[in-house]
Amino acid sequence: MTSALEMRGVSHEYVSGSVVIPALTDIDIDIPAGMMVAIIGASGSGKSTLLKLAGGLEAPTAGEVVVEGRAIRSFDDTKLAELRRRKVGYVFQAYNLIPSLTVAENVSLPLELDGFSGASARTSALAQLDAVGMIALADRFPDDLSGGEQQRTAIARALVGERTLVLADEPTGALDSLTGESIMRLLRRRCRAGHTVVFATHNIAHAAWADLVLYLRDGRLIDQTHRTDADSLLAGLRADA
Amino acid sequence: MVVRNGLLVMLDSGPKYGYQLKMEFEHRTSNVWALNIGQVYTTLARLERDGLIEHLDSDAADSHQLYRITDLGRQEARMWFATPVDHGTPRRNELIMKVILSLDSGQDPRQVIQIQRAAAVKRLQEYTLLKTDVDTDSDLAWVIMLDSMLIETEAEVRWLDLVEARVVQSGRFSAENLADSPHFTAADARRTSASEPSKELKEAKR
Repeated sequence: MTSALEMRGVSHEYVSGSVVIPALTDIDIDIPAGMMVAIIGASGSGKSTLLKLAGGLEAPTAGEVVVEGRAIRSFDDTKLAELRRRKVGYVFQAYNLIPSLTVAENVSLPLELDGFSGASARTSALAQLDAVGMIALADRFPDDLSGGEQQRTAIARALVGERTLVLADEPTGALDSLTGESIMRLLRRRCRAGHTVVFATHNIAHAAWADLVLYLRDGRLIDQTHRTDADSLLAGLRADA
Repeated sequence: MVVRNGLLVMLDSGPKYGYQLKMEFEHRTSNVWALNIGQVYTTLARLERDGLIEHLDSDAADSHQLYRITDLGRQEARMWFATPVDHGTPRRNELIMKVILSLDSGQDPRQVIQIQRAAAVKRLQEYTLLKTDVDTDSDLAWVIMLDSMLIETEAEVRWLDLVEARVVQSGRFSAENLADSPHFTAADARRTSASEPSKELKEAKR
């Protein structure tokens, strides 16, 4: 199976004046296509930085980020923009919706930038808005939406089109339990179709939907747990009372 | 108590046989709690002794005993729903003791916490897997039960996160402080929960 995302010896530092702050140290990961991956860890542990490096929003101080077999360090600005438009769907923690565009226009924008006609982009956008339960609000503007509605719009925008790698920073932070769960189900279906989802979360119940949970502490990858089968658990649950 | 009151609640909707009650109990709890038929009959005998149910004269052609609820039993069933469940005194919890004892043991308490957290998250992943393909409308009882177990495990993880934050805030366990202490190795930790990252990733990839 091909790798959707690899990080080889990736480290990243932020520099503030004369102070160097290490954000990530020596990260090695190799995520196969079709996998759903959650990143957990305390605030400041490096979750958001890892996602930004994976999406080419920032370049690592050291090491290599490889998306679908191609090292993105070698990309010029045009190729990087193309990667972000065609391959990678990104859900930002602050949503980053464009206030002057409607919900449907926000979601169809990546497709229109990629050369799709307005009508076909809108059709795809509406289908995605339907999947996140936002179809009724398609013609509203972001400022008229609640935090949770803005977040679902941002998720729809990341999922629209055939982008095979979805990176999401706290995608359910503003959602209630049941809406959050429905988004997790949607992301799992996406993975079943062969796409890859990597998301950072503080919500451990949502992290548990992932095939693989990665634990970050102080910028280092300290542990991971894999989802296996639940047969023994099921047998234990259904044992004679 | 749950079997006794459960049988009463089911008899409230009409007379039933012992075997019928067993099947209905298991069906309504999504087969999570299997009932022993012997336990059903013992409980029915006690309910009858206490005047909460009575048996109907059995049909000559049918050896099954049919039971029905009495007014007293109906009152008892209503009372059960109207009263909160008493969980009793909190039990001594090994995990709490282990974490507390790790604080002054020369171990890195964060490692003790992470081993437990990884095990709890794995359990959460398994419960979630059971929930993934369930139709939440048609199998509501099963989902409610899974949600309960999920949230209980989630609470454990949240507690571990909080303890870790407190340990870090206390400043007693910085990397420098632990450099010379005889803490266990990563291999010890792997034996109990997590495994070496790159190896697991390679296996998943296969």
